[in-house]
Amino acid sequence: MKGTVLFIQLTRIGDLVQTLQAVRQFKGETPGIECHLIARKSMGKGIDFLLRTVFEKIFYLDTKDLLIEGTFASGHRNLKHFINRINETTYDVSVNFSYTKSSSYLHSLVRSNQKLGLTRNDKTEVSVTDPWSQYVYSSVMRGTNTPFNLVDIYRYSLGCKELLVLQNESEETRENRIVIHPFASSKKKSWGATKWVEVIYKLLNEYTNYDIHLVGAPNDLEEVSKIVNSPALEKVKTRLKSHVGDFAIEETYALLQRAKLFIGHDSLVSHLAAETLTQSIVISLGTVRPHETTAYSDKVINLVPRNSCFPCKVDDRCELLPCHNSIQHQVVTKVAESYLSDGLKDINTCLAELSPFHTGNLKIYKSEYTETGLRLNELTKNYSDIKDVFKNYYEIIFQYYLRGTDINTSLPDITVETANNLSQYIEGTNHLFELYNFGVRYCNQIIKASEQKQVDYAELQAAVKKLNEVDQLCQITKQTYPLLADLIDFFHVNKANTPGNNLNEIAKSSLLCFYDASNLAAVINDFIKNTVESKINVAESIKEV
Amino acid sequence: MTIQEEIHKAMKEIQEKLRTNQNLKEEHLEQLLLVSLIEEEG
Repeated sequence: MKGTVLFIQLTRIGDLVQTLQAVRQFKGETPGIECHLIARKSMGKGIDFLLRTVFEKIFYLDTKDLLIEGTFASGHRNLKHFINRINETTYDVSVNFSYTKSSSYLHSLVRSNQKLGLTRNDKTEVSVTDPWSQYVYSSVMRGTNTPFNLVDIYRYSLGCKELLVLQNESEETRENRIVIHPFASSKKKSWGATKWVEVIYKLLNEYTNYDIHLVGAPNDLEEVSKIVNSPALEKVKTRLKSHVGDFAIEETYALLQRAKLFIGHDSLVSHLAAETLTQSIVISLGTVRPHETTAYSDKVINLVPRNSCFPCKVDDRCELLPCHNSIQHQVVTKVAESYLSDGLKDINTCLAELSPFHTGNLKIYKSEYTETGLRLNELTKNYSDIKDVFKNYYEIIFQYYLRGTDINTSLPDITVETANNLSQYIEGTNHLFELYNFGVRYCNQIIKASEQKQVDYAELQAAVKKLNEVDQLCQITKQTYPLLADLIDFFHVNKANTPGNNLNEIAKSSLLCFYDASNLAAVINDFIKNTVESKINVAESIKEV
Repeated sequence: MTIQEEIHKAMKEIQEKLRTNQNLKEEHLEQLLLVSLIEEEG
């Protein structure tokens, strides 16, 4: 197939790597396609060596360069020149994978025959017309309960059907080297020097033929000095090598290629470890959403706190960082032991040796590839909490609704307490089902009224007013039943972007949205009843949908 | 005129166009893009 596709990714380096991983799969499935990329220079230049393996042309955007002459007018002129260079090609498709204001404006200025992802219409309103981008815009950007890995969401947006991932073809053996990246972009996501010293101390003392290499950016120098100068590590210091602030990303990549294990937080380096097929232990803390951002590899063990506040949001204030204490260094070193001894073959026996004191407050996930993409399987076998249950439901319904893919999965194993909490949502889904059906009814009224020879404007106005009330009541339902937000918000965005040039056409499109939404509300209602019925008796209190 | 004043002037013009329901031209979208890039990079 021939054609040229433009990708816009103006967010961070980790997002660029995830975009690269999805586009690589897309190109594998559609040979002959040429892919171009727009990225920020400050984010993309460091991984240019990787990006060039997938993208034929890269446009680097640098605001400082644009404003080099010091005036807004000259910045505007330079920006125009930059956009003209992009528009030398008329793209078959342009795809915006960054959900920022600037990317939406940039996307609206790009010349392409079809646009996927956030863009702007001629009234500068946000427009997002493809369903997977609507899903990202409504759920991923707002919530914390996304069941899909971001790379898979990108793949789904591009219509990828197959899973084409990197395979280990190299015969080269890896060295007795562990790479650790003990830093993160925020305090909430970073475990802290003390915990890392404990891990490093244990590993260097138990694996006397191994070296540990620390990697990080120049702004991590102060933090790394706390680790390397720790008195506890004095005797093993010769086998602890710091490249923090020294190594370029390409050098870190090369270091990982020969390492047996990577340990760190959910960050760019974890994505690089995935790119080099390095076995990894990732510690997810604070705002990290493991299901969404775990490095795209089947060689990852992800340690995730079970605190009810996890994952928090960027704006949430937190001084005590309780989720940091849910993960003990003993767990990290035990998983490392399993990796280094037999490549995780006996991970369950290994974990069984840990005391419940160490594992009681965390979930241990192992990543694996399935037909639909990357999945996190919990090794700790905890009961599912209510958020996990809804995550399962959303995975099933959105895979089916947006991709036509059936997922066979057993009902979640829950406690009686969770069953009681979950049963409250039976009423919530009933409300939602009724509201969406009212939406269907009022859309029908509008269609009928607008097709009359003598249009009754009062009748039309009344039906439109009723539709607004339906929207408002959906928002109130969301406040009462917050875990229904993914469904409510998706259809809110979906409906706001329905096609149509007049009231009749818009009502017809909206009718389909309401109809689908009511069906999905009924499906969730059914899921809940089936999940809770083995634990509690709710039959008498349930109003049938 | 400082960059801030230039931005203020351009934004005022765009807001007026939106208020009076006029379609924006390409150059207005470019200005909005530049302003959002400046905002995002602080």
